[in-house]
Amino acid sequence: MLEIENLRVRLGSTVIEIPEMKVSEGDYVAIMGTTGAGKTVLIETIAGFYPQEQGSIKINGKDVSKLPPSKRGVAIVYQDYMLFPHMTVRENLAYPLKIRKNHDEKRIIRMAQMLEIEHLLDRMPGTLSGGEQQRVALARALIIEPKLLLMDEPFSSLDRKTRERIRKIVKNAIERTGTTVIHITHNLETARIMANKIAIMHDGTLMQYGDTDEILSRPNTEFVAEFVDTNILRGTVMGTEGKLTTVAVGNERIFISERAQGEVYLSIRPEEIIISREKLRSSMRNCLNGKIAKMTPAGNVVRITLSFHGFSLFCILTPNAVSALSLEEGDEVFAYFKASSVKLIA
Amino acid sequence: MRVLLLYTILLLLILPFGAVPFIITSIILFLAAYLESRDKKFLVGPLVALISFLWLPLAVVAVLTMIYLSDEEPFIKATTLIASLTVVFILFPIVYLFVSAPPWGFPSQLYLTLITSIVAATSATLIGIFLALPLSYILARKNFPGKGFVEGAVDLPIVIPHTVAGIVLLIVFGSAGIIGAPLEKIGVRFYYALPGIILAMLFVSIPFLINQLREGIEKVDERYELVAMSLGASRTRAFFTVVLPQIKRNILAGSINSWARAMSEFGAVIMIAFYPMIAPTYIYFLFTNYGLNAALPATSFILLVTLTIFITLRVLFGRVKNAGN
Repeated sequence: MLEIENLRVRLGSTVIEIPEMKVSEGDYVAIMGTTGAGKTVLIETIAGFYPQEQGSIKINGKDVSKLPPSKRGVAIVYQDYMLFPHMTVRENLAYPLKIRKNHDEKRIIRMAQMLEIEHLLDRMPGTLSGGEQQRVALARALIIEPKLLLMDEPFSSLDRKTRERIRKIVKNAIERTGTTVIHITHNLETARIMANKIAIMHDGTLMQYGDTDEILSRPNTEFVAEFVDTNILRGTVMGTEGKLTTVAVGNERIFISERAQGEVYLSIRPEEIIISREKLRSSMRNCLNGKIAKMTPAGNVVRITLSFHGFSLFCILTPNAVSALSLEEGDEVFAYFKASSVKLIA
Repeated sequence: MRVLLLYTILLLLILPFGAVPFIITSIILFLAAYLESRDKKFLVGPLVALISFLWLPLAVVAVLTMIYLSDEEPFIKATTLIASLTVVFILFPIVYLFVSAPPWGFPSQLYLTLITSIVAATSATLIGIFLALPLSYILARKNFPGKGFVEGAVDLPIVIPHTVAGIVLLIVFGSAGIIGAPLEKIGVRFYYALPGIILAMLFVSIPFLINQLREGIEKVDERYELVAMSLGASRTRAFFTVVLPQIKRNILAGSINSWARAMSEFGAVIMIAFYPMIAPTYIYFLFTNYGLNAALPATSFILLVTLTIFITLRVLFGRVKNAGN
């Protein structure tokens, strides 16, 4: 659907270079990355706001690099919504239709119903709450039936509760219209819920891009791993045991279900690790005995750092689970995880 | 006392007109102050004002009493005193003109010159808006080498003396001027003609428009235009439908400033076009040929007209808001 090749854009001191990026019809791509990584510049370039120095951007096989924004069939929604302040909500929604000489009141109503803003149609944007403005901006973007919808942190200024509600409405609307989406977010949770693909950007380039599960379980660098909040271990393959491969990490042995040789990097998602005070009878092949080095509350979960002989892992528990197990720093515990939860990374 | 500054200004304004008007005004104002605060101390005021019968300058004591009796802190009292003097410095000559010369009994030619003034100032402002919009847009949206130079150039007409501006325009647009001469061959004449007046007014007033419009456009996030473009608008359409409505107030403010500046221009205009006369030229003409007394009624009338228009525009301006704010 969207194909980017050898793209280079320079905007002041920001330079972005994307060797290749392909987005398929109906994909929902979450772009994550550090501040100043060039995420916004990338989507603004796709929208046609900035010229590129080199490379091509194709939408549905057609090179749009030279087309003005109005001819690309791409809509954009910003974090601060950019609703036209001198027009009512209805006029905002009608704006793109009027330009197309296709003013259709029914279409406005339908779109307003889908995003639950029908009761706001005659209000001025300045009088709306953040969540309401957000939905109006989205309705205005979707009403042109864009081939591609770009969103720049649309949920970041909403409070948690509103964000969850809006996410549902938006996901619903996007699924119903079958729109392809590229969505910049800082929020891993949003990326995991909404997206089927994740792109991690750093310093103007794409660090890793792929299916959400792939990125979450197999980050290709420590930078990405930190970004997607996962454990990375370095070890040496010792041999095979049945269908499993044994890897020496520190003074422990970890079983993985993939074949490998020599020195390897492994990743284990924190939510795949189970903690227990006693030894369990479990089918999980990996059981490590270690100590709780640190417990830090993080939002509505607790991050627990476990230290083993020569390395450490972190996992995530709910505060309830922590008090049920009456875990304290310094306690000895067993950590369990499946061999198949351990992913081999490049 | 919320109206301390206003009362002080009124007292100071009326003071030069003699003890009787001053005492009457004092009685009214001190009474008003008493009614507002229900504090009997203000009733002493009119008694203090009576000493102006002895010697008029003593009336100042009554003004100081008004400030002293107010329950403001010392800093505000001192500030109010100096602030009121500043306002009186501006207002008194104008008020005094109306008192010394009524706005009637002037030659009827004044009407014609006034119409010339209004036509020329309005034309200069309209042309100014048209010329200033593109420049303001670029200054607001783009950064480029030499931007500081362009910004400085735009403000030049404000800093150079107006007679100098007039002569500069004369040597370019005059009958023998580098641009004026060829234009004269095809029938466009600036020297001693209405276009010359408009030209001079435009030259001195356009900086006000440029600066106002630029300030307005800067406040409108460029992403409004970008979003409009992604919704299907061309850049031009995005500008007219999304930016322009958001800077209405700046356009109006700039126009008022520019128009007022054009109306008051004299120095630059007489260099390039003494005739047809605009109102300020006519006043100057009366003054130099027939003396002060001949010029006074016309002056008074012009002042009245200018004030009326100015006040009306300010009231209207107060009602216009930038769309969306």
